[in-house]
Parts: sequence; C-alpha cells; structure tokens
Amino acid sequence: MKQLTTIEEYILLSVHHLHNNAYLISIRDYLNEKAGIDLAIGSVFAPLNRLHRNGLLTTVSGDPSPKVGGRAIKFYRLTDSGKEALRERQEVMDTMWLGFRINDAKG
Amino acid sequence: MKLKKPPKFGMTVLDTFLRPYDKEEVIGSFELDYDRIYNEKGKVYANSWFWKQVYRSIIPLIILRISWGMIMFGNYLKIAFRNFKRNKGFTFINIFGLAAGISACIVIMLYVQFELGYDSYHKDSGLIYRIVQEETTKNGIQYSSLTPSKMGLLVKDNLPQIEYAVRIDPIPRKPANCSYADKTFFETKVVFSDNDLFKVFRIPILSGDPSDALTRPGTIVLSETMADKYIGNKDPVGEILQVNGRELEITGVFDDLPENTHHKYDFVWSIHDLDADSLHRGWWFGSTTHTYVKVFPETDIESLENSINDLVSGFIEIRGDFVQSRRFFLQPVEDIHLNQGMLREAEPPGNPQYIFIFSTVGILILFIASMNFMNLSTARSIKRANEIGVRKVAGAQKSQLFRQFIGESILLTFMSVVSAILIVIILMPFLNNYFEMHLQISDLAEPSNIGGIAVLMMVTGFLSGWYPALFLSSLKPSAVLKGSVSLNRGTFVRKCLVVLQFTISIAMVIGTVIIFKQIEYMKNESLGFDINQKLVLRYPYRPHPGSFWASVSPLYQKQKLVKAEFLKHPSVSGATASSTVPGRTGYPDTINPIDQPDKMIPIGVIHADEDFLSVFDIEIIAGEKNIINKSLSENEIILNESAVEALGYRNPEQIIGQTFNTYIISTVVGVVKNFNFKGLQSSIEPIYLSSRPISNMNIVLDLDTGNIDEAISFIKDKHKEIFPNEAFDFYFLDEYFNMQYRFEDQIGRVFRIFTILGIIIAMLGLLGLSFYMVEQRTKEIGIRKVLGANVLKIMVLLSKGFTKWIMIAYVLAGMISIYTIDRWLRNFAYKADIGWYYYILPGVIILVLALLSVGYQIFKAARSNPVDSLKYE
Repeated sequence: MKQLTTIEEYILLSVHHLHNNAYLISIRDYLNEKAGIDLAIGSVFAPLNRLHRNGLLTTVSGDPSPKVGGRAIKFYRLTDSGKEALRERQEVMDTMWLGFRINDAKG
Repeated sequence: MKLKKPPKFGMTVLDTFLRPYDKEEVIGSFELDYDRIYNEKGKVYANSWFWKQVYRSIIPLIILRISWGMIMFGNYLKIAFRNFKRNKGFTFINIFGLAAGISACIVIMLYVQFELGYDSYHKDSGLIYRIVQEETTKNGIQYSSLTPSKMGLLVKDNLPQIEYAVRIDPIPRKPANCSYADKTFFETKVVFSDNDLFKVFRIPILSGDPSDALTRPGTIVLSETMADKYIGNKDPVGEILQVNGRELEITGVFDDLPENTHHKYDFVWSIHDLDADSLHRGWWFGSTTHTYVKVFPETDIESLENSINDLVSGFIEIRGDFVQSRRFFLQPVEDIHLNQGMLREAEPPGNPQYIFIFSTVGILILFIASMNFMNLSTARSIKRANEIGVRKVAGAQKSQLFRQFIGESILLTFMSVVSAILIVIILMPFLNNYFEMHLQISDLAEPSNIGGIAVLMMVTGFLSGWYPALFLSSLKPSAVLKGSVSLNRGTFVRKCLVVLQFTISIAMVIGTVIIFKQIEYMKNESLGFDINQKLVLRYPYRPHPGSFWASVSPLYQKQKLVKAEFLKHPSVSGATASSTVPGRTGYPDTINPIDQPDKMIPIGVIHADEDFLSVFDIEIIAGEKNIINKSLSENEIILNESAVEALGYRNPEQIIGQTFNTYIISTVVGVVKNFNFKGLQSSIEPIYLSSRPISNMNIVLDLDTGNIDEAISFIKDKHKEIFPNEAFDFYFLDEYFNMQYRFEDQIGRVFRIFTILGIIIAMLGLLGLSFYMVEQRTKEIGIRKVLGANVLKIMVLLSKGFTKWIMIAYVLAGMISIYTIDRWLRNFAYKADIGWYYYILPGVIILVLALLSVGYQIFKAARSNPVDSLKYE
C-alpha cells in the first residue's frame, strides 16, 4: 500500500478518535488541540478529500442541521482499508521506534 | 439565528477552485467557523482570520483540484478509448479522413512558409537589396536582374549608405570541370564573387577565414557537401582544386545554403580572376553580374536609388538603338523569388498566385475533412443514446456530458493530428520528389508551427465536435429509454454537409481538369511548335577519322538513310535532322543587310533538313507554301518573326527575297511564326533556319501515342545496326523542355493530388454516412419487402436519395466553377478551347464513384431479410 504522509496519518487517527463526530471542522480542531498542528480549513480539506478518494475514508451524511444553516454535514468514517493502513503504519512505527530514548539521539 | 457571512469576494475566490461536489462541505465549514469567531471575537478579528485561512487554503485547494482534473481526464480517456474500440471501423475512417486533410494542410503550410521565407535566412535580410535595371526598349519596358560588372565596387566606394556590396557572376554557359586527385566532375553551380559575399549574406564558414577568403585571385571556396565529395576527410583549406584546367587554392568551406535561397551555388570562385577578362571592363557588354548591396539601417531607399543613377549616368553608354534608356532600382532580396518580371534570374522564380491557390485548396480540403468528421461523429454517436440516457438519470449534467463529448472530439482530432504528422514525415521524401520541392520536416518544429497546429487541432476538434456534442447532451432520458430517439433529427444538417462536401469535390475536379487543359494549351501555344512525343537522338561530334582538326557527327552523309530506317516503324510518323533542338541554343551568328554593317544584329542559327518545320509543326507566315517540305539550298534562309522585326521590316512579306550577310550571303525565302526556342523564361530571339547537313547532329522522331516502349526498342535496334559504336543517347523533348515548365507542371501535379485527396475524403464521408442512413431505413425496407418490392426496386429507391443530393451538389459546383474559372482565365491572353464535356464529365464520374461506394451497403440492405429487421416490433 502506498505510504501515508504524516498529515494523512494524523487525519486518519483523528477520524478514529472522533468516532462518529469527525467532520472537516472537528478534525481540524482535533489536530490543533492534540497535535498542535494549526492548519487552514483548505489545508485539512485537501488531504482529507484525497483519503476519501483513495478509499481510506467513507462519508456519511448527517441530518440537515440548523447549525449549519440548513446544510447537511458530511461525517467521515474509517473504512477497512483505512484501518488497515493505520495498522500497517503502526507496525512500521513500532519497528522503527523500538527502544528509542531521547538520550540516544543526543549522542 | 442569522449566520454572519464571511466576505463575499473571498468566498467567490474559494468557490472557483472547488469541485461542485465539495463546495457545500468547504463553503459550509468556512461559514460555520466564521460565524463562531465573529460571535466570539468580533468582526475585525473574524475577517483577518478569514483572509488568513483563504491565503493558506488556496494552494492546497488548487492542487487538489488539479489532481482531480487529471483523474477525470484519465477517466474520460478510458471511456473515449472504450468507445473507439467498440466502433473501430468508424473511428478509423474518421481519423483517417481527418488525418488526410490535416496532412495536406501541413504540407501546404510548409510549402507556403518555404516560398514566403525565401532569402530570409540571411542576417538583416531586410537591409539586403539587389540592383536591377529597367531598360526602356523599342518593345517596351523590360527588367533585367543583371548589371554591369563594375557597379558593385562603384556604388560601395562612393555611396555612404551602402555598407557592403557584392558581385556574383554565374559561370559562363558550360559547366565547369572540377577535379581533385582522382575525382573529376562537371559542376554547374559555380559562381564568381568577391569577399563581401560573406558580409552581405549569411554564409556560415566552417573552415577558413571569411575576412580574406576571396580577396586574392586564384582562390575558391566550396560548400560542405562539395568538400566531402572531393576532398573527403581532410581539411580542404590550402588544397588545390583544378577548375577548367586552372589551379585554384581552396580558402574556405561554407555550410550548405538552405534550399529557399534564390541563388544557389556550391562553389565560389574569386571574381578577381574574372576582372582581367575584357568582358568585365566595359559598361555595355558588361551586364553579366548580379549585384547585391547591404545598406545601413534607416537608409532612404529612393534617394539611394537616385544617387546610384546619378553616379552611374556618367559611365553608361547606350549603344545600338534597341535599348533607349536604363534606370537602376533596388530590389529587396526577399522579394526576388516571387517576382516574375525579371529577365535572367539566377533561378526560375516562384509564382505568388500559386501560394494563394494552394492555401485556398488546403483550407478547402480541411473543410471537407472536418465536415466529414462532424457527420460521422454525429451519426456514430446515435448509438450512444442509451449510455447517455442512463447517465443522465444517474445525475450527469448536460454541461458535463457536453464537455465530455467535446473532449472526445478533441481527442480524436489529436489522434488525427498525430497520425497526420506521421503521414507527413513518412511521405515527405516522396512528396518532395514528386512535386520537386525541398521541404523539411524539421521546419515543423518551429514554435510558430507547433502553436499553429495546436490551434488548428483545438479549433477543428471544437468545430467538428460541437454539433454532435450539443445534440447528444440534449437528449432526454425519457425519450432514449422509450426507444424513440430517431436518427431523423439532424439528418437535414447532415445531408447539407454531404452536399457541401461533394460540391467542393466536384468543383475541384472541374477546376483541375480545366487548369490542366489551359496549362497544356499554353505550353503548346506559346511554344509555337509541337513538343509532344518527340524523341531526340543525339549524335555528337567525333573527331573525324583521317582528319586531324575536323570533327563531325556520325550522322554525316547518313541522314537520309537513318531517317528512312526509323520511319519504317508504324509509330514513327516523322523524322528530321537538325543541328540543335528547341531548348538548346542555336549557335550564334550575326546578320546585316548587305552593305549596312552598322545594322548588324546578333542572330541564332538552326541548321535543319526539309522535314524540320513539319515535324515540329511550325507555322509559315510568309513565303511560298511549299517551303515546309522543300530542301533549302545553302544560301537560302528562313527567318523568324523576331528576326524580321529586328531587321526593321514591318511586314514579313516584304523581306522575302531580300539578301543579307550572314556568314555567307543569304536570301530570305520564308518567315515562320516565332517559336519559343529556349523556353518561356527567355524572350524570343531572332533566329534563322538554313540547311547545312554537316552541322546536323540530332535526329528528331515524331512518335504517335501508344506503344512508345515498343517503338523505342525498335529504334534502338535500328540504331545499333547503323551505328554499332555509338551510344544510344536519347531523350524526350517534352521531358527536357518541361524542366523549363517545371513550375506549371508542379501546379498540375499538386492540383491532381489534392483533388484526389478531396474526393477520397468525400467518399469516406459518404461511406460512413450511408451506413447509418441505410440502417435507419432497415425497418422501412423490411416492410417494403414484405409488401412485395424486389431487391432491385429497393436499391433504386435507396439510391435515389443519394443521387438527388449529389445532383444538387453538382449543380452548385458547376455554377461555382464556371464563375471562378472564367475569372481565372481572364489572366491569360490565350484561352484554351474547353469543351462543355469537361464540365459534365467530372460530375458524372463522381456520381458513379459515389454510387459505387454506397452501392455495397445498399445492396446488402436491399437483400436483408425482413424478418430480422421487423423482429423487434
């Protein structure tokens, strides 16, 4: 499977953590809050849209809500491919990060 | 609660870069967040936040949009190719037809560029001029491109506006014998020039020093091809080349000149060797040189011309009374090629009318091909009605579909363009050969050409595709699914297109035929003698056995015998012996009335026997009628009209019986109509004919058409019998002469090819169309058959439709061509007698071809089983 970029990885994870409440704005806020990544709306949308296009995410339409002035919100969910991609990434990370300590880096 | 909306302008900007599908999500999110921040932190903060967001979002959104675009494009391509595969036949016809049209355009484009760009190769070509003379003579004004030899030096030294001046002298008539080591050849492209040649013209020097390559006598520079030919791998500079027996030092090698220069040469010999020659000292005899100057920028040309004339007036003598005055002009070098008014050009000029004609022809062909394309696309796409219905139901927008179909059209066009370019590349050597052109593919790579082709592609694709695209994207799904989409919509337009195509094709055929006739007529008419089917056998002089100094032709004393033998073949209807043939110069003599040496004029001589006039069909206009077959005695001569005029006689009858001094004293016994001895390029000079058998070295045979090969082989055998040791040296006069008419020949060929092309494309169109038209009527045919019609009746029925439209096309074509041809023929003083059948015949031929091409379809349809066609009712 093609390698995920960092931001794509974080977006997938955000979607995972946000359960059924992952949409453009909430994902952006989550990234900001949890990872300190402050991105513009469009900068989140682009990778998000790509992930959707490549089948790692799927969308569910929410009910039209007065909050958004009548429009339906698009909620994102992980697909099986998406989960698979995260699993792979986790494996790779575990292998690469295994036994790393800050002190080692300073050497 | 009412939402606070972010600045509209910013939203519009965002909106532009979003896919319609994403708009709701992204715009909605922007609005939501904006509203929140506005409420929390106020308007100013919100706006600044907003703009920052826009600024940071724009690039990722653009990139996203582009990546989507590429994916969509890829999808369209896949669908398009799938469609092409499903309809292989039609796609092929479509592409081939359009490719044919586009290749024609490309070739024409290259040709036009070639002609128009003559001599633009040189640096600052706008500043280079040739000095030409306008001579006012008793016959009117004529222009000559030659000037006195010393002109160049004179103007350069005395006129400050002139930066450089160069003289180019062609080598006198015979080719030069060049040799180096063991390689000897005859070269015709040898000129004399001085060192300023390199300053005036752009001649890249590959070896040697351009600043003094030709400054000394006894030096020569050659082109790269020639250097390879003679010297091979060594550096030619410093080597000795023998030319006509003289040893010349090679002082330089230049890169071959491009083909579109008017003065083509392979060798440049230092003109200083010629300066010593007496011909170049005087001003009267010295008009043998082409003089070119390069002026400084912003020079006033008119005043420079006046200065030149003032300067030169002191030197010019006007001798004799043929030329009354001379004036010199400056001709821009780029104008030289397309100017037909000059005498004694370095090479025959091009014809600007033809550039116009070919461009028009090219556009017409492209037009036919595009219409074809449009027709076929429309017809073919009916089959896709189902696909469209389904997609529309699934939510596809009309504009989306429209764009997709246009895209397919452009894709097809693109494939056609690529095929066209390939076709041109592959055929280029043959085309160059057949049309005697020198076009190069590499010229296509010029940015302007690439741009032009790209534009052509887009425009053609769009124009050919918009109608079917519009038609298809407008189909209502309900109609499609019910099955009531008929082929009838748009049929009228399609029929109109076919009619238009055929009109153009028919008009072109008529045009071609007529132009051809006119040109042939002109060739024969202006020649004043019959040049067709004349076989010339050469018997050049050989050293006479038994005589140290005399040389004589093998024909000597055998002429009657030889002629009689050749005449034995049924196809040989005439034979004559002569010293020379039309196309080669008669040898020079002079003539003057007895006791009036001051009235001497130069005159050319042809020695011939009594059959010359009849074999060549030359008209006698004064003298006894039996002159034609009479054998002249030694001191009887026949003059041509030109000679009569030059000797001062108004009425040819008056000169009969007069005596003159030629190399002997001769009496005029007849006058013939002028015949164009040297070809259309030269004015008709005075000539006399007389009989001097010892001079005859040619036998000319008049052959009938048909069985030429057989006749030639008979003649060859006879020749071997009579002259066992002589080579069989023969040629056809018209082929030889046609080198002079290369131009008109080219035109004829071009027209022929393009007409055939036009017809093929139109046929292709008809073919494709007929398939659908017939399919559409299958049910009708089925019903008719059930009701009792037989195959023949049905074929006639179907054919009638086509025939009607072609008739209309033919009438239109007839009107157009009559009108245009009439206007074209006004250019010519002599009009060919064109029978009415030349107008009818093309129409009939095309009708027959058209019927043949649709015939098979019709036949198949007529024979089809009604059961099959009515099955689905």
